[in-house]
Amino acid sequence: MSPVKTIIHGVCMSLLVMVTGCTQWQYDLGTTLPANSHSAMTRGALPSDVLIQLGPPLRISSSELGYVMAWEYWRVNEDSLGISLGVLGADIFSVDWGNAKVAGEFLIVAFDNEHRLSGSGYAQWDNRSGGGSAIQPFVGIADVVDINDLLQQLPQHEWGGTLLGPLPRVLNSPSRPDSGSTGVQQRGTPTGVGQGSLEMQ
Amino acid sequence: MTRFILIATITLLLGACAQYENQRGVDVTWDPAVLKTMSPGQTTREDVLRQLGPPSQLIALNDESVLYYLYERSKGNGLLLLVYNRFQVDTQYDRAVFIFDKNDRLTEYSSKIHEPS
Repeated sequence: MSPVKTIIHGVCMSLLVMVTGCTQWQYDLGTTLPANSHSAMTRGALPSDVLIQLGPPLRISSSELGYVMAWEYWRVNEDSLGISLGVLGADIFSVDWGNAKVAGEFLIVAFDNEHRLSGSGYAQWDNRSGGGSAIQPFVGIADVVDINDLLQQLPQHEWGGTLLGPLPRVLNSPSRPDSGSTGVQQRGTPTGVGQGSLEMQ
Repeated sequence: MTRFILIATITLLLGACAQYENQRGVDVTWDPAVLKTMSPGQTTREDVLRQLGPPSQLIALNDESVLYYLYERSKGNGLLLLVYNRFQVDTQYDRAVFIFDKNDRLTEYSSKIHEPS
């Protein structure tokens, strides 16, 4: 093969490598719950018994009949494969494929006004949570995987900023499930339903 | 042979790795030595606030209240080989929760500090 052909082949292969890519993201949020912790939740147990076993809850809120605590663990995987000319400076033509998987567990424990465990619920899941594919010849504007709502920070960080959000959220702040006074909400709960319906998202 | 060297060189030159950390929340002041001084029925909310500082969240539980301290730390690392890229982000929550009765006396508390593996 002549040197010119070798260079041309090299450049072509380099370009192919540069415009093609596979990316994997993995997010671990928290730690797994102790084994069989949910089956050890006996009616009438004291909060201290539960706290010793599980540690501090990640979510806590008052309820009409007492209060609730919740513990959770999430693992979110995002895989994407794509061809894009962006690396060459051209924001045109992209072919993308993406897939997201979610695994986790959630335990919610309710206590009555007498500080006795009145009920609990546990869920564990390992599901595909979305994905898609796209061919965007001119402008790449669509993400084929969206997992941002699963990666949000815990609501405790928003303390003090509740009244600084967009107006629909501010007006709904007395009912927001992440305020600690009107219940708890899992990650990834669809917006615009239940106590969030007034936020019009 | 030339092609192999060319590909290897390009891969080597364009490969990269990344490491990052993201921290949110209040300082972890709830170490075991501090918590040993607290006892349900005696410690008041003022005692806890004086020793640990302002919490991340103050929650009203009907006639009780909760001081919730949270420190969130995300550690990420990534391998970028152009054709294949991999990122891993691990988020841990160091936290402490203190529940007080209507007389501002501590009734329950619990804490967790994540030990790095």
